[in-house]
Amino acid sequence: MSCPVDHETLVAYWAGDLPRAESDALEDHLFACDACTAASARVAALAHGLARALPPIVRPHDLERLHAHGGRTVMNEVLPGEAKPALFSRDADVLVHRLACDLGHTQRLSVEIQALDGTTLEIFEDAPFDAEAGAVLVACQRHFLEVDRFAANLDMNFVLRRRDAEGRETVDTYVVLHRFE
Amino acid sequence: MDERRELQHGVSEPGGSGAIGPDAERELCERFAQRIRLYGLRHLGDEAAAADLVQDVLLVLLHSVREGRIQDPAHLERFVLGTCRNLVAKIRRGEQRTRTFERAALPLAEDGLPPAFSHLDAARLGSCLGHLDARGLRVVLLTFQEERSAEEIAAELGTTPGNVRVIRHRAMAALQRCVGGAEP
Repeated sequence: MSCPVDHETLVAYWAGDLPRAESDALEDHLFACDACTAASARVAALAHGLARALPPIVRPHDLERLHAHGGRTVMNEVLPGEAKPALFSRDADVLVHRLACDLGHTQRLSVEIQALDGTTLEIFEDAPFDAEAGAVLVACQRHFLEVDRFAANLDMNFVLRRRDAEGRETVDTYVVLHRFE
Repeated sequence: MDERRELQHGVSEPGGSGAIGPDAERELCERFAQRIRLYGLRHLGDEAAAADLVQDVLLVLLHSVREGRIQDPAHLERFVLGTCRNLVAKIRRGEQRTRTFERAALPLAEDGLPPAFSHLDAARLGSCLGHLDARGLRVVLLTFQEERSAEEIAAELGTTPGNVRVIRHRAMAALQRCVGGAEP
């Protein structure tokens, strides 16, 4: 049986964005409907995960928030063309690769993660950035090791493609050699 | 007598013993535990507080059933939801929570509780977030990490609250598909 309540309403409920009367009416229904309870639980799980999630490409603001909640970061400054070892120390929650670049004219950014042989591991199109930051921030998280393609390629390239308002593309590659404690 | 009929029979004796078997009590707890937990998460915003609410509400429910005080057994969910609302209102008012009963009296095995929400693969979710467009990512993080309203997000992004709601819904649907859940 499918849930007769639309997904947008369930998202609004978990976002705290339903008027009181609608929220009460929805709860009346949820307590009587197995299918909608299951659908609501899926949205709740996602909302719960999001409340704690850190995206792989972050902005300075995301790190400030992480620090405010007690998260510990280690910064790894990397220049274009450089091959940089990076130790993910035991006392760090997140290893942040700060890929230095000029973002002043960037309209759109993509970040490709490659194995050293150039094989694509992941591409993040339309990645977030702060134009004033002077760097793209990659938040390397310990649980990424659970992803086979990353665990098998601890040494990797980060390829930044920046596109300006005229459509001109600038490409820079950074090499990071991960070591984990 | 099957468990559900036993349950109906037990709770429909006004003023009677209302006694139902342990299997029917367990079924009753399992039927409502997830709903109570979700209600607690939504209104108390905390997994531990939600788990406490599950215990407290189920104990009130069982006690009421045993004493035959539930007048409308066909709509037990109304009783349970009403109890949830009353207890959450008390918690919000800072009143001491009712713990009349020992938790040991609850016929719900530890592993019978609905699973915590830690099953979401954090690495998978992180990757999925990376594939959201920048605006969708911003909206879901502002919503669920910073608990900002659609109006506040709209002001920050220079758009309308209605548009924020559309972006939020689409981003959540995309994430749900990406993490491998059922179609929203």
